[in-house]
Amino acid sequence: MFGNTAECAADSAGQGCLSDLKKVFNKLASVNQVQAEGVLNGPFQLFLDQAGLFVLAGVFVMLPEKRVLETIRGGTLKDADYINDAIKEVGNLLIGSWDRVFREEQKGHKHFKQTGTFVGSIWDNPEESIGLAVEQPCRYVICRMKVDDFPEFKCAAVFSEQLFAAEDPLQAPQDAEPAAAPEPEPQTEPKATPLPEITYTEDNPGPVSESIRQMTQHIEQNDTTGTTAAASAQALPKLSAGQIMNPAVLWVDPEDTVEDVLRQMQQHNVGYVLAGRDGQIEGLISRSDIAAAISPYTRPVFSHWRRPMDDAALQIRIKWFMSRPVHTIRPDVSLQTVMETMLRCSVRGLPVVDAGGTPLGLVSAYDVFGALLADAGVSMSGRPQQAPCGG
Amino acid sequence: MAKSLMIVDDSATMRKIIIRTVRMSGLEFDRTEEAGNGKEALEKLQESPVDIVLCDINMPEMSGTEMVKEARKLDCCKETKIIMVSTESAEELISGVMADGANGYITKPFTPEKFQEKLTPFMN
Repeated sequence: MFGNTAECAADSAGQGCLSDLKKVFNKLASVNQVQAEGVLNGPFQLFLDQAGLFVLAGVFVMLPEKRVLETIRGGTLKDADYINDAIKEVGNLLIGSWDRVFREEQKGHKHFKQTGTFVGSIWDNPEESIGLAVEQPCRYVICRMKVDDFPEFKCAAVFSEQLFAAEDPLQAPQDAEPAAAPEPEPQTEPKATPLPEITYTEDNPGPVSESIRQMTQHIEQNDTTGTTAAASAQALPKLSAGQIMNPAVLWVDPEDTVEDVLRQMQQHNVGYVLAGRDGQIEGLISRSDIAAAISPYTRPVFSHWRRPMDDAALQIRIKWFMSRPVHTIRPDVSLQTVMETMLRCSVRGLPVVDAGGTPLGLVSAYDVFGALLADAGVSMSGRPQQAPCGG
Repeated sequence: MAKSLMIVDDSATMRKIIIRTVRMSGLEFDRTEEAGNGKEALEKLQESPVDIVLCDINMPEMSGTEMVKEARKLDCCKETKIIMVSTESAEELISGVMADGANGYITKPFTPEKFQEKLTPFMN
Protein backbone atom coordinates (compact mmCIF):
# COMPACT_ATOMS: atom_id res chain seq x y z
CA MET A 1 0.00 0.00 0.00
CA PHE A 2 2.85 2.41 0.80
CA GLY A 3 5.56 1.41 -1.61
CA ASN A 4 6.77 -1.55 0.44
CA THR A 5 7.95 -4.51 -1.56
CA ALA A 6 6.32 -7.85 -0.79
CA GLU A 7 7.01 -11.25 -2.27
CA CYS A 8 5.05 -14.44 -1.82
CA ALA A 9 5.84 -17.92 -3.10
CA ALA A 10 4.31 -21.33 -2.51
CA ASP A 11 6.43 -23.31 -0.07
CA SER A 12 4.64 -26.59 0.44
CA ALA A 13 1.21 -28.09 0.51
CA GLY A 14 -0.37 -31.17 1.88
CA GLN A 15 -3.29 -33.13 3.12
CA GLY A 16 -3.22 -34.37 6.70
CA CYS A 17 -4.27 -32.89 9.99
CA LEU A 18 -3.82 -29.61 11.80
CA SER A 19 -0.94 -30.93 13.90
CA ASP A 20 1.15 -31.13 10.69
CA LEU A 21 1.47 -27.36 10.97
CA LYS A 22 2.90 -27.45 14.48
CA LYS A 23 6.50 -27.12 13.30
CA VAL A 24 5.79 -23.98 11.29
CA PHE A 25 3.42 -22.19 13.65
CA ASN A 26 5.04 -23.23 16.92
CA LYS A 27 5.23 -19.80 18.56
CA LEU A 28 2.76 -16.96 18.48
CA ALA A 29 0.51 -16.85 15.43
CA SER A 30 -2.47 -14.98 14.14
CA VAL A 31 -5.31 -16.99 12.69
CA ASN A 32 -7.94 -15.21 10.64
CA GLN A 33 -11.28 -16.95 10.37
CA VAL A 34 -12.65 -16.55 6.85
CA GLN A 35 -16.20 -17.26 5.74
CA ALA A 36 -16.29 -18.21 2.07
CA GLU A 37 -19.38 -18.04 -0.08
CA GLY A 38 -19.68 -19.39 -3.60
CA VAL A 39 -18.04 -22.48 -5.04
CA LEU A 40 -15.96 -22.64 -1.89
CA ASN A 41 -18.64 -22.49 0.73
CA GLY A 42 -17.86 -22.46 4.41
CA PRO A 43 -15.20 -21.40 6.88
CA PHE A 44 -11.45 -21.69 6.43
CA GLN A 45 -8.42 -20.23 8.20
CA LEU A 46 -5.53 -18.00 7.21
CA PHE A 47 -2.45 -18.41 9.44
CA LEU A 48 0.48 -16.03 9.91
CA ASP A 49 3.52 -17.10 11.94
CA GLN A 50 5.10 -14.94 14.66
CA ALA A 51 7.45 -13.17 12.26
CA GLY A 52 4.60 -12.61 9.84
CA LEU A 53 2.21 -11.03 12.27
CA PHE A 54 4.86 -8.69 13.70
CA VAL A 55 6.33 -7.74 10.31
CA LEU A 56 3.02 -7.06 8.59
CA ALA A 57 1.39 -5.26 11.50
CA GLY A 58 4.63 -3.41 12.32
CA VAL A 59 5.05 -2.17 8.75
CA PHE A 60 1.36 -1.28 8.66
CA VAL A 61 1.59 1.02 11.68
CA MET A 62 5.16 2.12 10.83
CA LEU A 63 6.87 0.74 13.91
CA PRO A 64 10.63 1.35 13.93
CA GLU A 65 12.50 -1.40 12.09
CA LYS A 66 14.50 -2.23 15.19
CA ARG A 67 11.32 -2.79 17.20
CA VAL A 68 9.87 -5.07 14.51
CA LEU A 69 13.07 -7.14 14.43
CA GLU A 70 13.00 -7.49 18.23
CA THR A 71 9.42 -8.76 18.24
CA ILE A 72 10.12 -11.23 15.42
CA ARG A 73 12.66 -12.94 17.68
CA GLY A 74 11.21 -12.51 21.12
CA GLY A 75 7.83 -10.84 20.87
CA THR A 76 5.28 -11.77 23.50
CA LEU A 77 1.53 -11.85 23.61
CA LYS A 78 1.70 -8.46 25.32
CA ASP A 79 3.62 -7.06 22.34
CA ALA A 80 1.00 -8.50 20.03
CA ASP A 81 -1.81 -7.03 22.14
CA TYR A 82 -0.22 -3.63 21.72
CA ILE A 83 -0.78 -3.83 17.95
CA ASN A 84 -3.79 -6.13 18.04
CA ASP A 85 -5.93 -3.74 16.01
CA ALA A 86 -3.27 -3.62 13.29
CA ILE A 87 -2.92 -7.43 13.27
CA LYS A 88 -6.66 -7.74 12.74
CA GLU A 89 -6.66 -5.10 9.99
CA VAL A 90 -3.71 -6.73 8.22
CA GLY A 91 -5.66 -9.99 8.23
CA ASN A 92 -8.66 -8.18 6.83
CA LEU A 93 -6.55 -6.68 4.04
CA LEU A 94 -5.02 -10.06 3.18
CA ILE A 95 -8.47 -11.59 2.97
CA GLY A 96 -9.67 -8.65 0.88
CA SER A 97 -6.76 -9.10 -1.52
CA TRP A 98 -7.42 -12.79 -1.79
CA ASP A 99 -11.11 -12.14 -2.33
CA ARG A 100 -10.23 -9.85 -5.22
CA VAL A 101 -7.98 -12.47 -6.84
CA PHE A 102 -10.66 -15.15 -6.53
CA ARG A 103 -13.33 -12.81 -7.88
CA GLU A 104 -11.25 -12.14 -10.98
CA GLU A 105 -10.03 -15.66 -11.58
CA GLN A 106 -12.51 -18.12 -10.08
CA LYS A 107 -15.87 -18.54 -11.71
CA GLY A 108 -18.62 -18.93 -9.14
CA HIS A 109 -16.72 -17.22 -6.34
CA LYS A 110 -18.89 -14.86 -4.33
CA HIS A 111 -17.27 -13.67 -1.21
CA PHE A 112 -14.56 -14.04 1.46
CA LYS A 113 -15.25 -12.28 4.71
CA GLN A 114 -13.17 -12.03 7.88
CA THR A 115 -15.26 -13.28 10.76
CA GLY A 116 -12.67 -13.25 13.53
CA THR A 117 -9.00 -13.08 14.42
CA PHE A 118 -7.17 -15.08 17.06
CA VAL A 119 -3.71 -14.01 18.21
CA GLY A 120 -1.72 -16.25 20.53
CA SER A 121 -0.40 -19.77 20.76
CA ILE A 122 -2.64 -22.02 18.70
CA TRP A 123 -1.81 -25.31 20.33
CA ASP A 124 -3.18 -24.82 23.85
CA ASN A 125 -6.75 -25.44 22.77
CA PRO A 126 -7.10 -24.99 19.01
CA GLU A 127 -10.67 -26.22 18.89
CA GLU A 128 -11.73 -23.35 21.11
CA SER A 129 -9.37 -20.68 19.80
CA ILE A 130 -9.50 -21.26 16.05
CA GLY A 131 -12.30 -23.79 15.58
CA LEU A 132 -10.07 -26.68 14.47
CA ALA A 133 -9.13 -29.75 16.51
CA VAL A 134 -5.49 -30.87 16.65
CA GLU A 135 -6.28 -34.01 14.67
CA GLN A 136 -8.77 -32.27 12.38
CA PRO A 137 -8.34 -33.58 8.81
CA CYS A 138 -7.46 -30.67 6.57
CA ARG A 139 -5.64 -29.51 3.48
CA TYR A 140 -3.16 -26.70 3.62
CA VAL A 141 -1.02 -24.52 1.42
CA ILE A 142 2.01 -22.93 3.11
CA CYS A 143 3.59 -19.88 1.52
CA ARG A 144 6.82 -17.98 2.14
CA MET A 145 6.48 -14.23 2.33
CA LYS A 146 9.00 -11.45 2.48
CA VAL A 147 8.38 -7.75 3.05
CA ASP A 148 11.15 -5.23 2.31
CA ASP A 149 14.37 -6.36 4.02
CA PHE A 150 12.66 -8.05 6.95
CA PRO A 151 13.28 -11.76 7.45
CA GLU A 152 11.13 -14.18 5.52
CA PHE A 153 8.04 -15.53 7.26
CA LYS A 154 5.33 -18.07 6.59
CA CYS A 155 1.61 -18.00 6.15
CA ALA A 156 -0.83 -20.78 5.40
CA ALA A 157 -4.36 -21.26 4.17
CA VAL A 158 -5.96 -24.18 5.98
CA PHE A 159 -9.09 -25.84 4.67
CA SER A 160 -10.95 -28.36 6.77
CA GLU A 161 -11.86 -31.54 4.85
CA GLN A 162 -15.48 -30.88 5.79
CA LEU A 163 -15.39 -27.97 3.38
CA PHE A 164 -14.81 -30.32 0.47
CA ALA A 165 -17.22 -33.00 1.58
CA ALA A 166 -20.01 -30.44 1.86
CA GLU A 167 -19.30 -29.16 -1.62
CA ASP A 168 -20.15 -32.38 -3.42
CA PRO A 169 -23.87 -33.10 -2.98
CA LEU A 170 -23.40 -36.75 -3.92
CA GLN A 171 -20.30 -37.31 -1.83
CA ALA A 172 -21.50 -35.65 1.34
CA PRO A 173 -24.00 -38.31 2.52
CA GLN A 174 -21.45 -41.11 2.02
CA ASP A 175 -18.86 -39.31 4.12
CA ALA A 176 -21.28 -38.37 6.83
CA GLU A 177 -21.47 -40.25 10.11
CA PRO A 178 -24.40 -42.68 10.20
CA ALA A 179 -27.07 -40.63 11.88
CA ALA A 180 -29.29 -42.08 14.57
CA ALA A 181 -32.26 -40.05 13.48
CA PRO A 182 -32.89 -38.02 10.34
CA GLU A 183 -32.34 -34.29 10.65
CA PRO A 184 -35.54 -32.28 10.48
CA GLU A 185 -36.05 -30.57 7.16
CA PRO A 186 -35.38 -26.84 7.25
CA GLN A 187 -38.59 -24.86 7.23
CA THR A 188 -37.46 -21.75 5.46
CA GLU A 189 -35.22 -22.41 2.48
CA PRO A 190 -35.88 -25.11 -0.12
CA LYS A 191 -33.03 -27.59 -0.64
CA ALA A 192 -30.33 -26.45 -3.00
CA THR A 193 -30.66 -27.78 -6.51
CA PRO A 194 -27.89 -30.17 -7.56
CA LEU A 195 -24.84 -28.50 -9.02
CA PRO A 196 -24.68 -28.53 -12.84
CA GLU A 197 -22.20 -30.90 -14.39
CA ILE A 198 -18.79 -29.27 -14.66
CA THR A 199 -16.28 -30.20 -17.32
CA TYR A 200 -12.71 -29.64 -16.19
CA THR A 201 -10.83 -27.95 -18.99
CA GLU A 202 -8.02 -25.45 -19.07
CA ASP A 203 -10.60 -22.71 -19.51
CA ASN A 204 -12.75 -23.94 -16.70
CA PRO A 205 -10.65 -25.27 -13.84
CA GLY A 206 -13.75 -26.18 -11.85
CA PRO A 207 -14.63 -25.42 -8.26
CA VAL A 208 -12.14 -23.81 -5.96
CA SER A 209 -11.64 -27.03 -4.10
CA GLU A 210 -10.50 -28.64 -7.33
CA SER A 211 -8.06 -25.77 -7.87
CA ILE A 212 -6.73 -26.18 -4.34
CA ARG A 213 -6.52 -29.94 -4.78
CA GLN A 214 -4.58 -29.50 -8.01
CA MET A 215 -2.35 -26.90 -6.41
CA THR A 216 -1.50 -29.11 -3.45
CA GLN A 217 -0.89 -32.09 -5.73
CA HIS A 218 1.29 -30.00 -8.04
CA ILE A 219 3.44 -28.69 -5.19
CA GLU A 220 3.68 -32.14 -3.64
CA GLN A 221 4.75 -33.58 -6.97
CA ASN A 222 7.43 -30.93 -7.36
CA ASP A 223 8.66 -31.62 -3.86
CA THR A 224 9.33 -35.25 -4.61
CA THR A 225 10.28 -35.36 -8.26
CA GLY A 226 11.32 -31.83 -9.12
CA THR A 227 9.10 -32.03 -12.18
CA THR A 228 7.79 -28.67 -13.23
CA ALA A 229 6.95 -28.88 -16.91
CA ALA A 230 3.38 -29.74 -17.69
CA ALA A 231 2.78 -32.00 -20.65
CA SER A 232 0.97 -29.25 -22.49
CA ALA A 233 4.02 -26.99 -22.25
CA GLN A 234 5.84 -29.24 -24.70
CA ALA A 235 3.83 -27.58 -27.47
CA LEU A 236 5.39 -24.16 -26.73
CA PRO A 237 8.45 -23.01 -28.67
CA LYS A 238 11.74 -23.70 -26.87
CA LEU A 239 12.62 -20.08 -26.33
CA SER A 240 13.90 -18.23 -23.31
CA ALA A 241 13.06 -14.77 -22.02
CA GLY A 242 16.48 -13.59 -23.14
CA GLN A 243 15.74 -14.67 -26.70
CA ILE A 244 12.44 -12.83 -27.02
CA MET A 245 13.17 -9.76 -24.88
CA ASN A 246 13.75 -6.32 -26.31
CA PRO A 247 17.17 -5.13 -25.09
CA ALA A 248 16.45 -1.47 -25.95
CA VAL A 249 14.63 -0.20 -22.89
CA LEU A 250 13.83 3.42 -22.21
CA TRP A 251 14.65 4.72 -18.72
CA VAL A 252 13.19 7.70 -16.91
CA ASP A 253 13.80 9.21 -13.50
CA PRO A 254 11.05 8.62 -10.89
CA GLU A 255 11.10 12.38 -10.30
CA ASP A 256 10.20 13.10 -13.95
CA THR A 257 6.72 14.46 -14.54
CA VAL A 258 3.92 12.56 -16.22
CA GLU A 259 4.21 14.99 -19.13
CA ASP A 260 7.96 14.28 -19.55
CA VAL A 261 7.42 10.53 -19.58
CA LEU A 262 4.46 10.70 -21.94
CA ARG A 263 6.53 12.80 -24.37
CA GLN A 264 9.39 10.30 -24.27
CA MET A 265 7.10 7.34 -24.79
CA GLN A 266 5.54 9.05 -27.79
CA GLN A 267 8.92 10.05 -29.22
CA HIS A 268 10.32 6.54 -28.96
CA ASN A 269 7.03 4.77 -29.68
CA VAL A 270 7.29 2.42 -26.72
CA GLY A 271 4.63 0.96 -24.49
CA TYR A 272 6.80 0.56 -21.39
CA VAL A 273 9.56 2.48 -19.67
CA LEU A 274 11.58 1.66 -16.59
CA ALA A 275 11.90 4.21 -13.82
CA GLY A 276 15.04 4.23 -11.73
CA ARG A 277 18.56 5.48 -11.27
CA ASP A 278 22.00 3.93 -11.81
CA GLY A 279 20.52 0.80 -13.33
CA GLN A 280 18.33 0.14 -10.27
CA ILE A 281 14.73 -0.48 -11.25
CA GLU A 282 12.31 1.41 -9.00
CA GLY A 283 9.16 1.12 -11.07
CA LEU A 284 7.63 0.13 -14.38
CA ILE A 285 5.41 2.49 -16.34
CA SER A 286 3.04 1.45 -19.06
CA ARG A 287 0.84 3.58 -21.27
CA SER A 288 -2.08 2.37 -19.15
CA ASP A 289 -0.42 3.94 -16.11
CA ILE A 290 -0.06 7.18 -18.04
CA ALA A 291 -3.63 6.98 -19.29
CA ALA A 292 -4.81 6.60 -15.68
CA ALA A 293 -2.77 9.62 -14.63
CA ILE A 294 -3.94 12.16 -17.16
CA SER A 295 -7.31 13.72 -17.69
CA PRO A 296 -9.18 13.07 -20.95
CA TYR A 297 -9.68 16.85 -21.15
CA THR A 298 -6.01 17.22 -22.12
CA ARG A 299 -6.91 15.71 -25.48
CA PRO A 300 -7.37 18.34 -28.22
CA VAL A 301 -10.93 17.19 -28.93
CA PHE A 302 -11.97 18.09 -25.35
CA SER A 303 -9.83 21.23 -25.07
CA HIS A 304 -12.89 23.43 -24.68
CA TRP A 305 -13.52 21.89 -21.26
CA ARG A 306 -9.87 21.78 -20.18
CA ARG A 307 -9.37 22.98 -16.56
CA PRO A 308 -6.27 24.07 -14.66
CA MET A 309 -6.30 20.82 -12.66
CA ASP A 310 -6.04 18.83 -15.90
CA ASP A 311 -2.75 20.57 -16.67
CA ALA A 312 -1.68 20.23 -13.05
CA ALA A 313 -2.07 16.44 -13.31
CA LEU A 314 0.56 16.40 -16.07
CA GLN A 315 3.05 17.89 -13.63
CA ILE A 316 2.68 15.11 -11.04
CA ARG A 317 5.85 13.09 -10.64
CA ILE A 318 5.74 9.72 -12.34
CA LYS A 319 6.76 7.95 -9.12
CA TRP A 320 3.16 8.27 -7.95
CA PHE A 321 1.82 6.36 -10.93
CA MET A 322 4.48 3.77 -11.69
CA SER A 323 3.83 0.14 -10.86
CA ARG A 324 5.69 -1.12 -7.79
CA PRO A 325 7.04 -3.56 -6.85
CA VAL A 326 8.35 -4.59 -10.27
CA HIS A 327 8.17 -8.27 -11.10
CA THR A 328 11.32 -9.35 -12.94
CA ILE A 329 12.50 -12.52 -14.65
CA ARG A 330 15.88 -14.02 -15.51
CA PRO A 331 16.96 -14.32 -19.17
CA ASP A 332 17.16 -18.12 -19.01
CA VAL A 333 13.56 -18.76 -17.95
CA SER A 334 11.34 -20.46 -20.51
CA LEU A 335 8.56 -18.90 -22.55
CA GLN A 336 6.13 -20.89 -20.44
CA THR A 337 7.49 -19.31 -17.25
CA VAL A 338 7.26 -15.86 -18.83
CA MET A 339 3.60 -16.44 -19.65
CA GLU A 340 2.85 -17.94 -16.23
CA THR A 341 4.53 -14.99 -14.50
CA MET A 342 2.53 -12.50 -16.53
CA LEU A 343 -0.70 -14.28 -15.68
CA ARG A 344 0.13 -14.77 -12.02
CA CYS A 345 1.25 -11.18 -11.51
CA SER A 346 -1.40 -9.68 -13.84
CA VAL A 347 1.21 -7.76 -15.82
CA ARG A 348 1.95 -7.49 -19.49
CA GLY A 349 5.53 -6.30 -19.21
CA LEU A 350 8.43 -7.97 -17.38
CA PRO A 351 11.95 -6.56 -17.09
CA VAL A 352 14.64 -9.20 -17.63
CA VAL A 353 17.50 -9.02 -15.11
CA ASP A 354 20.66 -11.08 -14.60
CA ALA A 355 21.60 -12.86 -11.37
CA GLY A 356 23.04 -9.62 -10.00
CA GLY A 357 19.83 -7.72 -10.70
CA THR A 358 21.24 -5.80 -13.68
CA PRO A 359 18.49 -5.05 -16.21
CA LEU A 360 19.07 -6.65 -19.61
CA GLY A 361 15.84 -5.88 -21.42
CA LEU A 362 12.09 -6.17 -21.25
CA VAL A 363 9.58 -8.78 -22.41
CA SER A 364 6.06 -7.58 -23.18
CA ALA A 365 3.01 -9.71 -23.89
CA TYR A 366 3.38 -8.59 -27.49
CA ASP A 367 6.86 -10.12 -27.61
CA VAL A 368 5.28 -13.36 -26.41
CA PHE A 369 2.60 -13.17 -29.11
CA GLY A 370 5.33 -12.44 -31.66
CA ALA A 371 7.31 -15.50 -30.57
CA LEU A 372 4.25 -17.72 -30.73
CA LEU A 373 3.27 -16.41 -34.16
CA ALA A 374 6.83 -16.72 -35.46
CA ASP A 375 6.86 -20.32 -34.26
CA ALA A 376 3.64 -20.86 -36.19
CA GLY A 377 5.29 -19.43 -39.30
CA VAL A 378 3.45 -16.08 -39.25
CA SER A 379 5.65 -13.13 -40.19
CA MET A 380 5.14 -9.93 -38.17
CA SER A 381 7.37 -7.41 -39.90
CA GLY A 382 6.82 -3.81 -38.91
CA ARG A 383 6.06 -4.64 -35.31
CA PRO A 384 6.97 -1.74 -32.99
CA GLN A 385 9.94 -2.07 -30.68
CA GLN A 386 7.69 -2.57 -27.70
CA ALA A 387 3.98 -2.84 -27.20
CA PRO A 388 2.23 0.22 -28.57
CA CYS A 389 -0.14 0.15 -25.66
CA GLY A 390 -0.94 -2.06 -22.70
CA GLY A 391 -0.50 -2.22 -18.99
CA MET B 1 -11.47 26.21 -1.50
CA ALA B 2 -10.27 24.01 1.35
CA LYS B 3 -12.36 20.93 2.04
CA SER B 4 -13.21 18.95 5.14
CA LEU B 5 -13.03 15.19 5.52
CA MET B 6 -14.45 12.54 7.84
CA ILE B 7 -13.03 9.01 8.19
CA VAL B 8 -15.51 6.42 9.48
CA ASP B 9 -13.99 3.08 10.48
CA ASP B 10 -14.26 0.97 13.62
CA SER B 11 -10.50 0.39 13.59
CA ALA B 12 -8.52 3.32 14.98
CA THR B 13 -5.46 1.95 13.19
CA MET B 14 -7.25 1.91 9.86
CA ARG B 15 -8.45 5.48 10.40
CA LYS B 16 -4.84 6.58 10.91
CA ILE B 17 -3.73 4.62 7.85
CA ILE B 18 -6.43 6.27 5.73
CA ILE B 19 -5.42 9.72 6.97
CA ARG B 20 -1.80 8.94 6.14
CA THR B 21 -2.72 7.62 2.69
CA VAL B 22 -4.86 10.65 1.90
CA ARG B 23 -1.93 12.86 2.89
CA MET B 24 0.39 10.81 0.63
CA SER B 25 -2.05 11.27 -2.24
CA GLY B 26 -1.28 14.99 -2.18
CA LEU B 27 -4.85 16.03 -1.37
CA GLU B 28 -5.23 18.62 1.35
CA PHE B 29 -8.07 19.09 3.80
CA ASP B 30 -8.42 21.89 6.31
CA ARG B 31 -10.31 19.69 8.79
CA THR B 32 -10.35 15.92 9.34
CA GLU B 33 -12.88 14.25 11.64
CA GLU B 34 -13.00 10.63 12.77
CA ALA B 35 -15.88 8.35 13.79
CA GLY B 36 -15.91 4.72 14.92
CA ASN B 37 -19.22 3.69 13.36
CA GLY B 38 -22.13 4.98 11.28
CA LYS B 39 -24.13 6.20 14.25
CA GLU B 40 -21.28 8.26 15.65
CA ALA B 41 -20.61 9.63 12.15
CA LEU B 42 -24.20 10.81 11.71
CA GLU B 43 -24.14 12.51 15.11
CA LYS B 44 -20.93 14.33 14.22
CA LEU B 45 -22.18 15.23 10.74
CA GLN B 46 -25.31 16.82 12.18
CA GLU B 47 -23.18 18.91 14.53
CA SER B 48 -20.61 19.84 11.93
CA PRO B 49 -21.05 18.69 8.30
CA VAL B 50 -18.06 17.84 6.12
CA ASP B 51 -17.52 17.82 2.36
CA ILE B 52 -16.25 14.27 1.95
CA VAL B 53 -16.79 11.12 4.04
CA LEU B 54 -14.64 8.01 3.65
CA CYS B 55 -16.68 5.21 5.18
CA ASP B 56 -16.02 1.55 5.98
CA ILE B 57 -18.88 -0.93 5.55
CA ASN B 58 -18.60 -3.54 8.28
CA MET B 59 -18.86 -1.70 11.57
CA PRO B 60 -20.65 -2.31 14.87
CA GLU B 61 -23.78 -0.38 15.88
CA MET B 62 -24.41 1.01 12.41
CA SER B 63 -22.83 -0.28 9.20
CA GLY B 64 -21.61 1.92 6.37
CA THR B 65 -24.49 0.91 4.10
CA GLU B 66 -27.04 1.90 6.75
CA MET B 67 -25.16 5.14 7.36
CA VAL B 68 -25.38 6.12 3.68
CA LYS B 69 -29.16 5.58 3.67
CA GLU B 70 -29.63 7.61 6.85
CA ALA B 71 -27.25 10.37 5.75
CA ARG B 72 -29.18 10.92 2.55
CA LYS B 73 -32.29 11.68 4.60
CA LEU B 74 -30.49 14.53 6.39
CA ASP B 75 -30.46 18.04 4.96
CA CYS B 76 -26.95 18.61 6.29
CA CYS B 77 -25.61 15.70 4.24
CA LYS B 78 -27.37 16.37 0.94
CA GLU B 79 -24.18 17.69 -0.66
CA THR B 80 -21.75 15.49 1.25
CA LYS B 81 -19.80 13.11 -0.96
CA ILE B 82 -19.64 9.67 0.60
CA ILE B 83 -16.95 7.25 -0.64
CA MET B 84 -17.08 3.71 0.71
CA VAL B 85 -13.73 2.14 1.67
CA SER B 86 -13.96 -1.59 2.27
CA THR B 87 -12.42 -4.99 1.63
CA GLU B 88 -15.85 -6.07 0.40
CA SER B 89 -15.79 -6.09 -3.38
CA ALA B 90 -18.95 -7.97 -4.36
CA GLU B 91 -20.54 -6.20 -7.32
CA GLU B 92 -24.06 -6.43 -5.91
CA LEU B 93 -22.91 -4.80 -2.67
CA ILE B 94 -21.14 -1.98 -4.52
CA SER B 95 -24.06 -1.30 -6.87
CA GLY B 96 -26.46 -1.47 -3.90
CA VAL B 97 -24.63 1.08 -1.81
CA MET B 98 -24.12 3.34 -4.83
CA ALA B 99 -27.86 3.17 -5.49
CA ASP B 100 -28.45 4.13 -1.86
CA GLY B 101 -26.49 7.33 -2.35
CA ALA B 102 -22.77 6.64 -2.07
CA ASN B 103 -20.63 8.62 -4.51
CA GLY B 104 -17.75 6.22 -4.92
CA TYR B 105 -16.11 3.00 -3.79
CA ILE B 106 -12.51 2.17 -2.90
CA THR B 107 -11.49 -1.37 -2.11
CA LYS B 108 -8.89 -2.16 0.54
CA PRO B 109 -5.97 -2.57 0.23
CA PHE B 110 -5.76 0.86 -1.37
CA THR B 111 -3.00 3.14 -2.62
CA PRO B 112 -2.49 6.91 -2.45
CA GLU B 113 -3.09 6.96 -6.20
CA LYS B 114 -6.49 5.36 -5.73
CA PHE B 115 -7.51 8.04 -3.24
CA GLN B 116 -6.27 10.71 -5.61
CA GLU B 117 -8.27 9.22 -8.47
CA LYS B 118 -11.50 8.89 -6.49
CA LEU B 119 -11.37 12.10 -4.46
CA THR B 120 -9.98 14.61 -6.95
CA PRO B 121 -13.31 15.01 -8.81
CA PHE B 122 -14.87 16.19 -5.53
CA MET B 123 -12.15 18.63 -4.59
CA ASN B 124 -13.36 21.57 -6.69
